[in-house]
Amino acid sequence: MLYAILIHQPLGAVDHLTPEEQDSMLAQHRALQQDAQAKGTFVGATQLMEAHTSTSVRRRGDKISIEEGPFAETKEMFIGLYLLNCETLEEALEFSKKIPHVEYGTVEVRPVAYHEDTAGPFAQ
Amino acid sequence: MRDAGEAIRAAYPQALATLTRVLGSLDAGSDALHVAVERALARWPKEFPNNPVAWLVHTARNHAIDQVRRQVVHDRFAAVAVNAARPEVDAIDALAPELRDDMLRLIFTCCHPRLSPDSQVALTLRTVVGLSVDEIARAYLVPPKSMERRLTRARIALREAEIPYEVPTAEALPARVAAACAVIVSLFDQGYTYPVDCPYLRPELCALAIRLARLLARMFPQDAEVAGLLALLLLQHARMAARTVSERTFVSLEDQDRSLWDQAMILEGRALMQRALRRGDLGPYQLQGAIAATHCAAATFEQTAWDEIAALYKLLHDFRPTATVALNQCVAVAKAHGAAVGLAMLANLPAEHQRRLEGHHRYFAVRGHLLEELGQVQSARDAFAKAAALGPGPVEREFLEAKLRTLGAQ
Repeated sequence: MLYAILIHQPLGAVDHLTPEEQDSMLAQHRALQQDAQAKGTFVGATQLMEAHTSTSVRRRGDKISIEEGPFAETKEMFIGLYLLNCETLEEALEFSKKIPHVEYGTVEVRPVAYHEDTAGPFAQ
Repeated sequence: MRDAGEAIRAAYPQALATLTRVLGSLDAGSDALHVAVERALARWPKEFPNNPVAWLVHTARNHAIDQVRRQVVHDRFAAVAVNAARPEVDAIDALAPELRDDMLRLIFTCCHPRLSPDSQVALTLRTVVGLSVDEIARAYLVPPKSMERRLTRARIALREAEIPYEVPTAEALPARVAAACAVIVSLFDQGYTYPVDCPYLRPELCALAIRLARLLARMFPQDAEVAGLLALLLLQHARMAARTVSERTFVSLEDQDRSLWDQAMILEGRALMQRALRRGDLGPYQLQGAIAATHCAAATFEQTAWDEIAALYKLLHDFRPTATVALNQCVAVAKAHGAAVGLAMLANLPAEHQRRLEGHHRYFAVRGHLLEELGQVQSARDAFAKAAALGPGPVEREFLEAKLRTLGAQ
């Protein structure tokens, strides 16, 4: 089963961390990725830039609109995700507990309905 | 052991920002912090605190509370002041992340529209960043005495206007953003260029400026100029490691090891620029961001798109007709079309620009480089000597003196 591990966090929640603390967070992510790679569950990891860099595309009728946003109006915003190929939900939860952002925000584990990757394990 | 003076200087702005909110006014905050700084100078060399900002805030706050308590005995009216300050006082102990916004609150207070734009910037640099009057004067190419007068006027205006210490309302905020942007740029430049009294750069000032710019960008996500500003700072700061490979050494753009550039910062800067430019609401920060992005896009110095950079400076000069922008345009034109063209352009700058530039070392350094390139050794040496005599910082002076030695040997 493919799981998306979605990381949500309040805007600016880690701003106050020192450069050393920020580096330590990155190191934790790298260690998690290596661990998942060793287990063979790792599919992908993505970090998004902040919500204020977003652009949205919509079509209503025959009118396409391209607008800036959506911006962070909710308390927490989506900042990145992992894709893991796990046997069980438990395994995905075990991984998620170790993500440093659980301390500042919410990590959501959601099963993936469809995924195609030209390079990954799901490649045709 | 860290240097206490340097650590105090680094912690000062944030401590002042928080104390001003807690104690209710800039004057009260400054006074209390002054006492804490004196104690820190005595204490820190023996016992360095884990969190210098928290130490200063804690010490200053306790001093202020003692003062008020003592006063209460003599003056029952002072009790009103204590009550007004008390609800906030308890919040300070944790130094929670949101308290960091105090910096922004302080900046918006110092950037109040009732102050002249020049005063806003000067006051913020003196108060928020803790720069010396000389350093601010130097950054603005004015004599220290005029800067001192400007600061005095600004402080009086701030006091008389009874400007509340708060983040302005949604309607009032955008009007103050431009001034806040200018302040952030000044703060960044103070870290990015060599100060008078100090042989090294201060990347921590740049990092602070970027954080403030990021806060603004989050608050005003649809402001293309704020995005342009953040992009500009990121694209410049991305090159910091390459400029500071060793202390006391000036590494020009030409000589930088580009593999040391921070690619994550460049990526973020480019993303911000691309979206900002889509709005078609061009402004000076976006143009400067575009110039920085063009530099960052070049794999080598030789591959730099100087033509494009010269064109961007020309557009920028429409928004910001300053002597510095004109000087930079000349440099880009010289790179694109040869030193002779650049030199001719330099000679034909408007008289107003000439007057300003003739007191500034960079003008003569640029002249020196162009003349050297044209083989006019004697004139080049004169220009470099003039640049060195105009009092650049120690690192730039060494660079210029090395230049003079090389040219003297020819």
